[in-house]
Amino acid sequence: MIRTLKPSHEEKPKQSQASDAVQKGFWEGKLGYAHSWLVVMTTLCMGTVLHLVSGPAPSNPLVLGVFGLPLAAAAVFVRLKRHSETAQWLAGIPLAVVSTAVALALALFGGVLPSSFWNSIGLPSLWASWPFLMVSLVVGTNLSAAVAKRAWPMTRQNALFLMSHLGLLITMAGGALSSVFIERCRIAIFPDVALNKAQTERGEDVELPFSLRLKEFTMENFPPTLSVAHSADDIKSGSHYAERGMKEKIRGLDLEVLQHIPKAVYDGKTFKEMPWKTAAPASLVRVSRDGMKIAEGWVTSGSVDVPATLLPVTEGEVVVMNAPKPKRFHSLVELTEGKETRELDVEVNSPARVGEWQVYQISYDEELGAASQYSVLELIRDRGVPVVFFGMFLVVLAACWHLWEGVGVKK
Amino acid sequence: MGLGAWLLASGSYVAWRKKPWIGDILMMIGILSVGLMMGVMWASLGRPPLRTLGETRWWYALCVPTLGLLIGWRFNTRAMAVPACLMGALFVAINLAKPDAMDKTLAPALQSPWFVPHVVVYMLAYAALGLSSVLAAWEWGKALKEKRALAVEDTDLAHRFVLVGLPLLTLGLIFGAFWAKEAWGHYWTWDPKETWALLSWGAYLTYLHVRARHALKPALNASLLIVGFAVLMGCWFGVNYLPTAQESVHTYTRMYEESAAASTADQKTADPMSAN
Repeated sequence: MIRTLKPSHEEKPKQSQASDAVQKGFWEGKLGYAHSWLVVMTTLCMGTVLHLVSGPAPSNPLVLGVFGLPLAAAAVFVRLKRHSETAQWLAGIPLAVVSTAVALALALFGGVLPSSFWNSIGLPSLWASWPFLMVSLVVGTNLSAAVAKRAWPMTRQNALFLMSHLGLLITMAGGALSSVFIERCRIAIFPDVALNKAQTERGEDVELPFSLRLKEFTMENFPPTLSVAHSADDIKSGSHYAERGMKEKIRGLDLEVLQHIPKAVYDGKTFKEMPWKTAAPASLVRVSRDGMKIAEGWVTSGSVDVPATLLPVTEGEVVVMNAPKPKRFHSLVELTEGKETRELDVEVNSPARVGEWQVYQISYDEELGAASQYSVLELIRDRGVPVVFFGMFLVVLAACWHLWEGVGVKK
Repeated sequence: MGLGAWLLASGSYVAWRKKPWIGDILMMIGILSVGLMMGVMWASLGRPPLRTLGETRWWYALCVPTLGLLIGWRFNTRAMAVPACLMGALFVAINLAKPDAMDKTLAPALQSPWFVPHVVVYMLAYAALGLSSVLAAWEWGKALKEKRALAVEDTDLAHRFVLVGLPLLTLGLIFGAFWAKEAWGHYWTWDPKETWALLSWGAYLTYLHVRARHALKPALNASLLIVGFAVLMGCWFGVNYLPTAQESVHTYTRMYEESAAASTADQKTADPMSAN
């Protein structure tokens, strides 16, 4: 029911107002937290019933369109009936607080319970469930109404409000667009053959408008460190890189690296430098305690061609070389699109762009490491991203403005 | 030195209330010593010391007194000086009691221009929001001791810290999304750490909206600040201990520990030349 905030005196005589308030029904009084709780919990229950009846929410444009309707309707309604009690409530803080609190409570479950739990109740995840989506819809509707309410007149205060709230609304809308229209697939590329068939997570083939061939896969590692271990669960790792001349005290043992070979192979007697991609780092280590040498020998973390080697020091105590940690992995890719061929550099934190597709370095043959014969790339085409980033940009501007005011306002 | 300076500073703020400059100087000595120590750590690691929980604790220990001092100067009050000093000292003590294994390596995903702004902005936000909650609890405790209700003015300063902390938290969240898009192709994946970051942000947003409507209910606002800080701690530390932690790509400390253990286990089982 739509009512105005300030009913005219002609409509209701002054003396009857108190008795009216007592007699007003639940929806006829001032709308506030109780009404918000009722609406949000009802929506949550509807979502739960929907989930029980139909399972997880399908990710399709129809659902997106249906979800957009209440948002648009709320915005139009609030603009048309700006001073009505219903519009004030729809765009107000009680509904914002209650809907956000319930959405956060659901998110708390999602942040605590692992995906195996959600799978066990027939959900791929909480985030694709009807209850969560329905409550998010209330959050979005409230946001949309609030934005519409403050869209005009454009005062300084309203501009700041709009920047943050409209930014958030656009981000949410972009996220919804992404979830429906995103295309993701992976492709393992090899040196000998150009491929244009990728696979989605569900194992469906995707034909790409271009083909990809691995020209070169390179991998750099950080130098390894040494550890002293009693067992696989009882390890004390050092922090210095195992390089010639390195000295470090671990668990009361003085370790000194007498010789270090970054790429070594074992020739049956000792370790020798060999620039193979399958070689492993090896260090000749002297171990002393209180100035007394107690062991000396080679340690290596090993590779497919070099067996791992540790150095026994005392009974149950060994010096080991930790597997080197990857510093950078990079694929040089040959891309053929029609008659045109060009090269792409793809590495973590530096994706390549091919038309609407973004190409990401995802994986490689971890057993072979630098000698990997293939590289796994992920290709993503997400048309919601520009919308999301525009929304986020507005939120960033609003955050900077708020920060300025937060620091600047005098007590 | 930082620990000692901050403990002395908090003592001096209480002992010489009319001479806050003594506490200010001690506080600055603490800030400079911890800042210098972190500069040395940055140089010796060859990477920003922002990767592990222990390293972020050092940042927190630095940010809390720094922010406490700066905001104190800005608003001409020392109300938060003692809590700021004690929080800084507490985090230094935790780090000294539980030192991190220093590891110079930085995973490829962390080698991003977003790394430093994302974590530093978050640490500043955590410092501001942490101070707001401690101040709220402090003032509430004082009110209880004096057997009076919490007054609106008692939560004013705490609210100011939220006005600083929440925008920073927002920036941290969005910088993280931009970075995730570059590194993994998705700006948001409902990873447990992301979910908890959203929960923290949502908790303080809720506080802000409640405060906007119910500014005259200081006890309600103070309670929300305390809840918000608990959620924030859940996001920073707690998430590593939850069942969902195994699914997170953000728990770098755990990943590195597991990698070291796996490496040792491999070498023990595949050990053809252990007698060399």
